This record gives sequence, C-alpha cells and structure tokens, in this order.
Amino acid sequence: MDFQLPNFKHMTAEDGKVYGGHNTVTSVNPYKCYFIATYPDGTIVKGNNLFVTGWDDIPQGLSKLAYVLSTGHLIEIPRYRAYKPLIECSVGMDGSRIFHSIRVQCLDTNSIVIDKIILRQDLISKHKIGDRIWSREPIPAGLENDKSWKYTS
Amino acid sequence: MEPKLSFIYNTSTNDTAYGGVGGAHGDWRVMSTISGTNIITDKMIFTGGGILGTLPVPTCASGTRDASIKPDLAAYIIPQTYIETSTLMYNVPMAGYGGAMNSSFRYVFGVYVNGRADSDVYLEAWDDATFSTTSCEVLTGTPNSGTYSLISAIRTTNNAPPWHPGWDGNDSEAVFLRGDQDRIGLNNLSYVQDKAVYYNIYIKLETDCTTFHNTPVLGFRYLYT
Repeated sequence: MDFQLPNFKHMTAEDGKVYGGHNTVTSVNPYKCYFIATYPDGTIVKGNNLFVTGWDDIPQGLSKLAYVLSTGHLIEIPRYRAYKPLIECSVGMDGSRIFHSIRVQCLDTNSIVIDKIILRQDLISKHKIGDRIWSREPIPAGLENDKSWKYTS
Repeated sequence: MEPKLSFIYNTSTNDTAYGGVGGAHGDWRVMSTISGTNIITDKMIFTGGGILGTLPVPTCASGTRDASIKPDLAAYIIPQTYIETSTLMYNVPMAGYGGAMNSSFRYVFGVYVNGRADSDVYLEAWDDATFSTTSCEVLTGTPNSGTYSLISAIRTTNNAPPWHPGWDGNDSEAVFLRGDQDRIGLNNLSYVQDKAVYYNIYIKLETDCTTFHNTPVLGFRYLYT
C-alpha cells in the first residue's frame, strides 16, 4: 500500500508542514520514525515506520527500547517489566492524516506508566516534537493475553 | 500495524447493517480513494432547503448545491446529505432524522475498521486538516445554539437505541461535535477490530447564524500498535 499524505506540504526527510486557516502544524516524517529494540545477546531489531511499525513481530525478552524520530531525536525509554507502544493518529474523511504521539505503555509494579512522545508541534500547543509527558493508569485486565505486550528479559 | 479505515454510507432507506469487509456492498457505498493510495476524493455535503427546495434524489450531478436559507423564526436542519463523488452526488436518505421520513435510523454512515485499533475510534470535527482548531461558525455555534457546535452526531453501533426523532447532541451517546473535547467513540469499547461502527449526523442552523460557508474536516482518531 502506498501511504501518501495529502495534507502534508513540503515533506522533507526531516519533517512535514500542514497549513490550516488558523494554525500551522509541523509534524515528524512518519516514514522515518521507528523503534529500536535491543536484546541481551546484542541483537538489535529496528522498526519500520509509523504506518507499519513492526512492533507485533518482534520477539519477547528485549533489554532496552528507544525511539528515533525523523527530527533526529533519540528517545530512550526507561526500563520496565514490559512495553506496548501505541501510535495516536487522526485520519480525516478527506484522507488527511496527523500523527499526534507515541503512547508507550510501560508495565510497572502496580500500574501502567504512559510515556507519551509528542510527534507534532504548532503555533498554539506548548508541546514540541520530542517532548515527553508521563502519566499513570491502572493495569488493564487481560494484559497477559495481549501479544502486543513485550516483556523485558 | 495501522488498521485500514473505509468510510461507508447507505444510499437506501433500508436500515440494515453493512455486510462487507471494506468495499461496496448492497446498498452501501464506500468513499472513493485514488487508486493505489489512501487519498479520498469524495466529500460529505450538507445542502438543500434553499431556492430549489430539494435537490434530485437518489443522485444528482457533482457540484450541484442549493444554499440553505438562513432561518428567521426557528432553527432549521439542513435537509439533505449527499456524498459527492467525481461524477455524481449520492443522497443518503436516512441522514439526520431521516429527512422527509421524519424518523431516525441506525445504519446510515459507518466506518469499517480492517485490522485492529487499540482504542475506540473517535469521530471528531475540526476546522481543517491540522486537527488543531475549532474556530469556524459551524463548530463554535451561536448564542441560540447554547454555544454548542451546530453539528450533532450520534453513535448507533450498539443495540440499545438512544436515537429517536428529534435527537440531538444532548442525547445519550450523542454529542455536538467540536474538536477532541466534544467527540463520540463509535464502538464504546477499548478496541475495534475487523468490524463496522455506525453513526448518524446532521447540521442545525440557528436563527442567529450568519450566512456562512464552512468546510470543516470530520476526522477519526484512534490508537494502534
């Protein structure tokens, strides 16, 4: 599938612009953002992009997780018991698309830590690309049956 | 992997569920994309109630419009909803309250989610494709609308029917669409996988509206791995 982004103008290797009537959004280039999972034996698995992340295909037992953004940010996620990163995306009925954040869910002892990585910035929001916002949520039911959770070694 | 969304609409008065898996099926059509891409070329058009009264159904030529007259005495629902393709506009007769049928329906508009969204799929309305502002009049509303948005949308995916003739954004499982604060989850669950979710939508003009022409973007927000 060819993932074209009709609302992005001047997309470069670094970022893309979306011009609106009241705001201009700068976004990461989703084709050039990916995770890096490191394993105890030295193996490194690199993800693809924000459309087909490749996360569900990686093996369990990673020792380190990091994200590379097209802007050059290298974001290292602290060590937790397990991870499940979620891409937050909006798709317009006209096919336009914005990637808002990567919400890395991290399994802690008694809760889920959400390590939210911002993927866009604009003239209104105080958050910039690469900023991180942390929060906590209760551990969801059925987590042990969810293959998207990848446990650390 | 990101799920693939297909935006579907029912061109009939048969209030029956979509039976396809992302393509046209029975009375249901799919908003078109440019071949080989996910760029959508069709538009949702709210029109009618002006000099022409009503536009032809079930189809009329693309580009046809009938500017709705600004109401003087009472709020007024834009009576006709179409999906405009490159050649024809297809009427969606059950949109809103069901137009002249004065009823309300469940299977009108939908989104088929091919794959898995790890959250609900939220219907939102924004000024434009920046998905960041809600300044246009149809979204800000007016004093007579209680400063609610003029767009009412209701989730009709689930069995318990909250929809009824006269429903609006104040009803259970409905909302006056505006940004990500006033939005509606279409499945009311923490995920959506390989299924169609449904909604209905209309625009009500208030007597204190200006004579605007707005082109907000309806968008769908979701999470995936």
